[in-house]
Amino acid sequence: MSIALLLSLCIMGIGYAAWTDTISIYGTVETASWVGVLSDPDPSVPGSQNITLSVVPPSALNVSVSNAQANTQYTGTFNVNNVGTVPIKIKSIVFDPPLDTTATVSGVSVGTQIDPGKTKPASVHTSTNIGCKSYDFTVTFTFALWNE
Amino acid sequence: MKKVHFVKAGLVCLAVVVVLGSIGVAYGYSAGTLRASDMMAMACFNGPFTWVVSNDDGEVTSISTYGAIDPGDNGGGTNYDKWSIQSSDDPSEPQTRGVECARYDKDVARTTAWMSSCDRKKITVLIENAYPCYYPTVFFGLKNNQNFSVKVESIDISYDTPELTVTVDGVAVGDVLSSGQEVTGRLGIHTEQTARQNSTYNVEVKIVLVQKEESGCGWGWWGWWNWWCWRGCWGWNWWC
Repeated sequence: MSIALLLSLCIMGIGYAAWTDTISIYGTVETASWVGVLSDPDPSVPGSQNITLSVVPPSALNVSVSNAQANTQYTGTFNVNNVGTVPIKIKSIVFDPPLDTTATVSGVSVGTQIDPGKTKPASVHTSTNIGCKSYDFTVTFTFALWNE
Repeated sequence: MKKVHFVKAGLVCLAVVVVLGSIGVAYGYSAGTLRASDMMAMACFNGPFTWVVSNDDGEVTSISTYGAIDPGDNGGGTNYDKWSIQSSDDPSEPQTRGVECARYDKDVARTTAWMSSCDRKKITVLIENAYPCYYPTVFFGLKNNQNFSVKVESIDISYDTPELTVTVDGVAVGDVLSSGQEVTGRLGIHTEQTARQNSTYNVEVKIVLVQKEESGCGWGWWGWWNWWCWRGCWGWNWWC
């Protein structure tokens, strides 16, 4: 019995000496979405009878001008939308109007911030110095997180 | 005569065993039924984590010993406010306990952290709507509730993507916590520029604590004596 008691105490001692504990931290990171898109070309503005805008998803715009008169500005409207969950900004606007034509974008510019779920109306303006000219070009937007 | 002494010693040991056993049986029967709450009471609130604070949950949290842990976590967003009072302008750098950190002017992401209510051995952190360069900090209290010194044996940080950087400081491998001592740990999670959209990443930090081995006292077979040596009880230090 004494031996049993001694062994028990020893086992207790071994157990005590081998004390260990593991603690944990579990983390889950769910990332957001950051997406800007163009939408809703609006044909009901002055000059729209000669200009057509069509969106190339997600963020490019085809501009088509038919039978343009010389030195007349044609305007088409569209929207820039933030359909993500993080504020974004416009990183670049690139367009490639053909020779003898000009193009500009108004309403938004590089650096414009758009909050999630919000829309910024914008317009593209183009003209040519040659009469009866038909031409096409593309306007391409790129977006970045607001903190980039 | 020797035989008589041996028998006496045996009887004493037997009596000790019987008495201890009786105490255990009596205790077991005294409550009639061992209630679940009793078991919880025995098992709970003994874990090493004592508190946990996120610096982007919209609330400045004070811990009595230290005061405000996460100043600047005031709730709401300056120029964009997704979470209202449930979160604050997003931190853009690690925060030091009690010192405000740099924050963006927008409340886009949110970090909440909580501790397992029972054993206090597990902290869960949830980061929502994270984006590149979001950098929340989670503070936690780590206390040695044992009556002996405890050493941090290992800290393993694992996560399933290079698109995060996770750091733990305030507690390091080899640190020794004396009985009752508490330290403040800090978990930083940085979402890298390459993070993908609409993704879920997992992070796990395992901290292994062991009893601090005292110099001159061995392990294993001598564990029980080690205990007494360490405690210095009954003047038995000469065993060490």
